[in-house]
Amino acid sequence: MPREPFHRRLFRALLRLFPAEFRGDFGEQMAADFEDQRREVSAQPRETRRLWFRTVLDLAARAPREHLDALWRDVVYALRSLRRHKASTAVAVFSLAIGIGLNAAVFSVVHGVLWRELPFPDGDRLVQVGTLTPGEQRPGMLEDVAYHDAAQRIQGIASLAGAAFLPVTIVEPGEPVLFGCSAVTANFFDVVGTSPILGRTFTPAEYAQALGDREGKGPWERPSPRVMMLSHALWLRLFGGSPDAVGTLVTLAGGDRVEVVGVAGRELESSLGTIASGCWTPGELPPPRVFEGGSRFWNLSVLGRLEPDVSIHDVQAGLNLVEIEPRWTPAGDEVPLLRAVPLRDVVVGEVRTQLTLLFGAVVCVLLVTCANVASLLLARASGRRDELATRAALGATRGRLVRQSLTEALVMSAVGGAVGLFLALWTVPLVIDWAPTNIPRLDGVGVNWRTLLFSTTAAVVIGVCCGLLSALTARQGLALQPSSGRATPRVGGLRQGLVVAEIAVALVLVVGATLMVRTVRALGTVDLGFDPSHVISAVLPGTPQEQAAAIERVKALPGVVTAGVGGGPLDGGGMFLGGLTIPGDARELDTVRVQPVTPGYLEALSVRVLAGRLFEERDLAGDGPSPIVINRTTARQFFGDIDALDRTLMNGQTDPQIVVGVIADLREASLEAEPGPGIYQVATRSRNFSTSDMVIKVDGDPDALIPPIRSIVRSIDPEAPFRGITPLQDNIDREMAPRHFVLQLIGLFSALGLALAVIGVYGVIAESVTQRVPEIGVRMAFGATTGNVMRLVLRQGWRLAVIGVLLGLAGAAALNGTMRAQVYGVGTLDPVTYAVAALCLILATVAACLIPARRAARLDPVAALRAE
Amino acid sequence: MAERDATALLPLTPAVFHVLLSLADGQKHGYAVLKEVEHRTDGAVLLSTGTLYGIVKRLLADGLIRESVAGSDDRRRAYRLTAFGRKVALAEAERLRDLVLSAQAKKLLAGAAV
Repeated sequence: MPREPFHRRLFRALLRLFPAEFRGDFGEQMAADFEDQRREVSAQPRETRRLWFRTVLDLAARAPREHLDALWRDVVYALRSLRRHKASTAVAVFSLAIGIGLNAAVFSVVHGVLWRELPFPDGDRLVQVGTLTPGEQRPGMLEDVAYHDAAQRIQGIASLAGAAFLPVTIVEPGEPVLFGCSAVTANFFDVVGTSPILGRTFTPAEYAQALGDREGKGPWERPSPRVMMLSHALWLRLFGGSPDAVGTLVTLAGGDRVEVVGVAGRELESSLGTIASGCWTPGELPPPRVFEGGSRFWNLSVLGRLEPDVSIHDVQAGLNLVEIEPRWTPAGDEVPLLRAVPLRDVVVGEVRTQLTLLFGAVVCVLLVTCANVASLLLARASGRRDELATRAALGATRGRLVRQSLTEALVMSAVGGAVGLFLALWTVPLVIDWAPTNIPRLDGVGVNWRTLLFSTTAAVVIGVCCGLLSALTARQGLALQPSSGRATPRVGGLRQGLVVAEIAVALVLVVGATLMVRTVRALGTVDLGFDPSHVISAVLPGTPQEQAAAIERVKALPGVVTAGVGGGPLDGGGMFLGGLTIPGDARELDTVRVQPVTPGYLEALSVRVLAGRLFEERDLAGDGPSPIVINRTTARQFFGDIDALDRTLMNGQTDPQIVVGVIADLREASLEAEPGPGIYQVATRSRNFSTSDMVIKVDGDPDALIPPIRSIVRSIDPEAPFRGITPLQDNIDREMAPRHFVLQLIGLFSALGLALAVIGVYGVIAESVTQRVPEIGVRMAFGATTGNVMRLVLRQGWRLAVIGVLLGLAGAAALNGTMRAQVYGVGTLDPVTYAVAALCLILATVAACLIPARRAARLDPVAALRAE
Repeated sequence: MAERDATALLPLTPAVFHVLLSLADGQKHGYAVLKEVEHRTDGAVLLSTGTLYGIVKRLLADGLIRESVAGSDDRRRAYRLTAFGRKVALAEAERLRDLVLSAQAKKLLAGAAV
């Protein structure tokens, strides 16, 4: 055949702009008409050019309209078809709505908490610098000397800013309140990039004055501030949000009066992690110096702002040069690393792994949803083979049929996504309400355009994948089978594959949920080293003498077994002290948690004595070495043995301490953290700190004793800050709250995943039974019993379940690392957990097959054969 | 088929009306329609193939025209007005006449009132 002339090929190329269907209907005629038009003007080049110009413009303008037209018809057709299959459409839209809705909700929370930039200008450039003990996520505090050294050496950060913790009690106006205050260096607010919502920050003169006030004082002695900036919360509490607060004087415990110069924005509360504070005061640092006795004090939280184009790794190089006083650990000479950590990571903290896990779980639910929807569409497509084959025979192109399937799936996922978005709008506030308050940054969580974008993307991706899958499978059945005239294939391998995948993903979810359940149970039985039952913890103000008087009065209350003063267990209390030495060894020990306590404190907590004794009245005063009680870890690490009685520790050169008792480790920081070395000193002889928590062991109901204890605390000091008198068990419950929260959600998600998988299995088996009616009829006619038939169907389900479970077990094992940070007291590859989950899945799958199996067994063979 | 309301499709676009007009006196294939419209309007309305067949597709779908077996050959199909198509064209013509009459009544347009 001779090659077509150029103009004809060009016109045909232009025709490709139109939808294939339109081309098929009119392409030939258009080409012929154009040919005639062209021939007519062929003698006049100018007319020919005008004809081309006109035609090209016209085709280009017309083609998009035809596409829109085709799309609109597809949508109308899809809606009609969805309406025709009401039941399966309802199931698909419902599962999509649940799947997309839950994902959108969890996405909103995860984005708001984990991924959202800190609400400061260029907030993601803020880093916290501090010592990072291996295994820890939050950088620790720095001492003055290291801070100055780091500030000198650091590269890529223009300046470091420090904030030192300073407890302050405000007694006027309002009820006395104890607040954590941050004494900040002069550049702090510039580094953070924040300005007060009312008033001002501090002047250079105020910083200089604060520095002068510290002259000649010890490192832990903090003179009262002269000016302060209130946090937003404290402003609301003390002044009800009145702008008159600025310029007002507040009175501190002890009578000092402090001028309020400004009010900080809310973001300073929610987005500074451990630096967040009730109020702010100037706290410029004195030049580096080593204090009396050589002991140092780690109390500075240090912030910096990365310069543009500087990465956190670049900064690390300079930090590696900073000499941190080497400290001795049993593992050898180990220097804690000075690290820069993005402030956002510090703020988010441990919640990161929990929320990431939650997101992973909800994505699994979405995967199961997708498999279900794809399976439904495949079922529908195979039911429509005849229709599609007819349409193909009548000239519908392959592309047109694929597009039709795609449109149908997209319309379905769009409806599901829209419903899901409403679901998210409704659930996000519920989740925020329900979430424990120790999840940070929940204040900025909400459904916004990102949620919309996320759900739209999810809906489109699901629609395209499911639509393509069903279109491509349907195509295989397009050729009419001449022998039968209709297609009667078995349930496609693809659908069975989808069901297997659903079972596998559901199994992963169930394994995750089971691990969480076991973790919570393990934490419930963890050895705290103390017994929290019937113990009240209370804040106790005042001088040691006043505290002693209060303790005596509390002990005299009926129902009180014993009471003592010390750090609040589980609130991470106590102080870290470095620079301890063992006589005869030049090395310094690693930091130790030191708790000043009174006799009665350890008894109230029912600690277990391993060697020696607890404190007694005779330890309260006296010359010579102060008695200390050490925990088992200290004994092991520092003395190599539990038998450490009468050994000596030196705090500086002049403060020997002698071990009088060894007790079991107490979990003081958190439930799951293995306790580190700890030392208990007698409060009255502790040179370093005072303490302000009281624990009271009672006989009966702790709640009943709270009012009399409260009145004793108030009678000693009516100005006593009132932070709360609570049963110790409440603190433990609060500590467990985020884990319970994640557990409940993951439990919900795995139940959903399981239910969806069961629906999927049921659908496939039920359809397979329908298709096998004639075969079953023949079998029954030849003598198969109902038992045989049931086994036949159940075997099919059983096979799917076993393959799915095996794949799921492999998947869960491959993913076990993601759970590691979340589980406690159970291995992430725990065989019992896996076995329970597998059994659960197999039982659920077989149960789902029972209904179709019974239906098959009840078939009337005559009717079944007649159907053929 | 139930009686359809011809006025429901009004007003027609000028191009659609021209296509219907050109088919009013008998079946034609596409090229003939193009030429007829061009001649009748002295070249003021120049339809191109894209526009023409877009219109043809809609008119076919709405049942205003249908393919004529008699006039079609293997390359081209001829189209003719259906009874309904004729009604629609007539309704549009009447609508346009009423407009012209209104314009004349307002002395905007010269000419005798009919």
